[in-house]
Amino acid sequence: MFFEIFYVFLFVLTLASAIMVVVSPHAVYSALYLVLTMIGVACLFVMMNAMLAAAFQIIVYAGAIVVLFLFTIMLLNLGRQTPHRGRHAVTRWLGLALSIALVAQVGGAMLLLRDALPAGNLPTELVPVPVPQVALFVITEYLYAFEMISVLLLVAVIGSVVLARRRLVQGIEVISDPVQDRGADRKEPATWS
Amino acid sequence: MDDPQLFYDHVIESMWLTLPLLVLLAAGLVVLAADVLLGRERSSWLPAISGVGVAGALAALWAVGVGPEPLYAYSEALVLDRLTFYADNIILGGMLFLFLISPRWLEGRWIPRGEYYALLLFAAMSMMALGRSSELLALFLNFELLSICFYVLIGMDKRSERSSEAGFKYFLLGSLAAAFLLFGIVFVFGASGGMTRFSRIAEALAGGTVEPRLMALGLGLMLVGFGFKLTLAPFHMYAPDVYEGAPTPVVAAVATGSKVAGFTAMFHVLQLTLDWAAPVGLWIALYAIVVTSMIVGNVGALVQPNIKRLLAYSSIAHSGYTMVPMVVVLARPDLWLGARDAIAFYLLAYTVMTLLAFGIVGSMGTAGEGRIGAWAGLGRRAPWRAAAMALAMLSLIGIPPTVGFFGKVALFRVAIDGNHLWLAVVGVLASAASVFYYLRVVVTMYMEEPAEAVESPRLPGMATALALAVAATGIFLAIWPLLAARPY
Amino acid sequence: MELMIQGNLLLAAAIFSIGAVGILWKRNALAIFMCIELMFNAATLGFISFAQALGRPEGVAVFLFVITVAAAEAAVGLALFIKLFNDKGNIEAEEMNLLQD
Repeated sequence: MFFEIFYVFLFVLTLASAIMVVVSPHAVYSALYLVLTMIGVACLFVMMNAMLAAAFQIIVYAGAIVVLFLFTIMLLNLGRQTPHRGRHAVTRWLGLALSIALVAQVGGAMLLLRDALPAGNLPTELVPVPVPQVALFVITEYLYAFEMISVLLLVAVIGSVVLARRRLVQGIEVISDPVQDRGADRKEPATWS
Repeated sequence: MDDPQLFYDHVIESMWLTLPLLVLLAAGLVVLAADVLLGRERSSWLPAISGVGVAGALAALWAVGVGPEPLYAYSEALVLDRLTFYADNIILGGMLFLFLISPRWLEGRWIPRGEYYALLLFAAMSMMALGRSSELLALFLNFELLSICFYVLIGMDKRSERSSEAGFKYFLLGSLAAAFLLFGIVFVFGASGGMTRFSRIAEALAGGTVEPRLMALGLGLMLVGFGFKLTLAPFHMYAPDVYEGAPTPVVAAVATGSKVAGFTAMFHVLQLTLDWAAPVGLWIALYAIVVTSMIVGNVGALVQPNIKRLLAYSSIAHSGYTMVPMVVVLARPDLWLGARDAIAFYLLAYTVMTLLAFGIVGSMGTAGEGRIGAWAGLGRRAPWRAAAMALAMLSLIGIPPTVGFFGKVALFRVAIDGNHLWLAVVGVLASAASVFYYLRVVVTMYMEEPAEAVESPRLPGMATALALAVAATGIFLAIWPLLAARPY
Repeated sequence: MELMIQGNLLLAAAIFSIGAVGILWKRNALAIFMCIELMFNAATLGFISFAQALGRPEGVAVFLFVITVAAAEAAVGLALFIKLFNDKGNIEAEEMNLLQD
């Protein structure tokens, strides 16, 4: 009984904080509600006996990604957002309608899920996944993904450095003739040296 | 995978099959190192290293070769079949062209050279990998790797606010696409009983143990993800802005290589459903996407004053044409070999003509990359380039005997064979509308006088590349009957 | 147990839709990106639910890769936002109008 009540509580908490991410006017509040949503999802993982997934959910998502968000918000000093100017109103309502259709579609499919998951195959107990087995999957079945992730991280590192580097010192950057194309579509920013 | 020795052998064999990818990866790393070691003065070596890398990958591709049966690598994460082999050739050929035109285009622009070339090489690698994906996780990873390369490449120009904006838009829409793709993958995974390999999913579908609605929902969501990547309407909104703001050689890569890879991957996904009666909803969605892409692309291009935006809309329309055989195959699975050949051939044709067009746009300097008006009188000022551009435009319209014509014939023949005459008719009508805007460019070049003194276009470095491209098109036209009969 | 899996999938769909609506309603680029993260989160929730229900241990391995990708993407995206902010002084989606002439 406690299990069911706790599940319903988590369900409502996660859903409500997901809504609050969208509704809150301030970016910092949105980020904090995002953390709450992620922790809610992590708790759902625990209830499904997926402990490893829950741990990584908290470490990577709630720990790393949201901190990155908060860092950017603070760095750029993004305060309260200005209200809408009413442009693209049609798109907004259309999007809302389409999203409701999506939930209805998934909801409908869920009702059929009993047939989708072959009868009798559905475990009565959700078993935890042993960590060594996951590790083995990472380096055998998903070896390609494991290798590709390293390339992806390399690209992400190079990309972040290239994009966020602010100061361009001539001689370090390879710039042949900066004067030639100057001012095609921008003025000289004050932050550059 | 119980026997370590067997697994070891499998990995070695997989590395051999993916040798072209490894060559590109190595070339990218060499470029990064060379950028640091060689210093600023010798940055002209970087495109040379990159070009050698791509040529090496091409050589590796042919050394590995391809057989009639698909070969799998890394526990079926990647597949090597005739379609991927053909697509890889197109991608690498296109990349070679981009490395040829890039050095000249980069002159005077605030784009760090080493990172630019390295990321372009990584992007080439991920394009090939994306086309070869035959497993859900590999598909998602390759999709994301390609996207991340392009977020950076598009937003890289330090001096251009437009480049930042374009990168920003591509980033938001690209992550949205990835989210849709991932959510679709989740449902496909669930509906097929927890399978990630395409072969197992196909088995499950053929075996009839799949809940059709859940599967259709998953495939539909994946389709939305692909729709963003392939600029299919109604997921095309970002394309004109991104194409306008991004560095021209990068746009050329986004418009050609990334689409070739996307279509190849999408064909492999839709191939799963050959033995499965797809629900009506999925069909309707596909029909709607194909028809709206053809219409939106051609109508949108009519009013564009900017050449890159025009080419963006044109690219949307061409994605619509390329989708035609995919839809037909869903109704007539027996035609899938013919559809595969038609798509492969059209991707080649589209890549050749689009690269030619973007190459010339890139040679026009800042003004010529913008408004079409700046092209006035080019027929006299630079007759060769005007002729090449006119050839590209005529080919994009599909006027015989250009390659665009034969490509379209191949596509629409599949539609007619599959009793989808109406789709072919819509396609031909849409192509007819495209005559107006493509010819407007030609008319501007040959019949209009420049209103004011225009910036003299930069030629020398580009000339070689353009001559090569034109020659390639010419050779290609000469051997088309061979290819059209059997693309590979 | 079955009900819990269905509930989780429904919740995933709902969070995904909330994220999709948020993208259309928010103006601030960071907020839009948070909505995209919400969608990713919904996908991982659905994924783990299916994997656990179907008894597929590789689900957790796939999940690890997916969140790694999400983190890498977030890093690149936020770098892009910083560049845009340096260029323009804001990251409001509606201020993006250089490219619409």
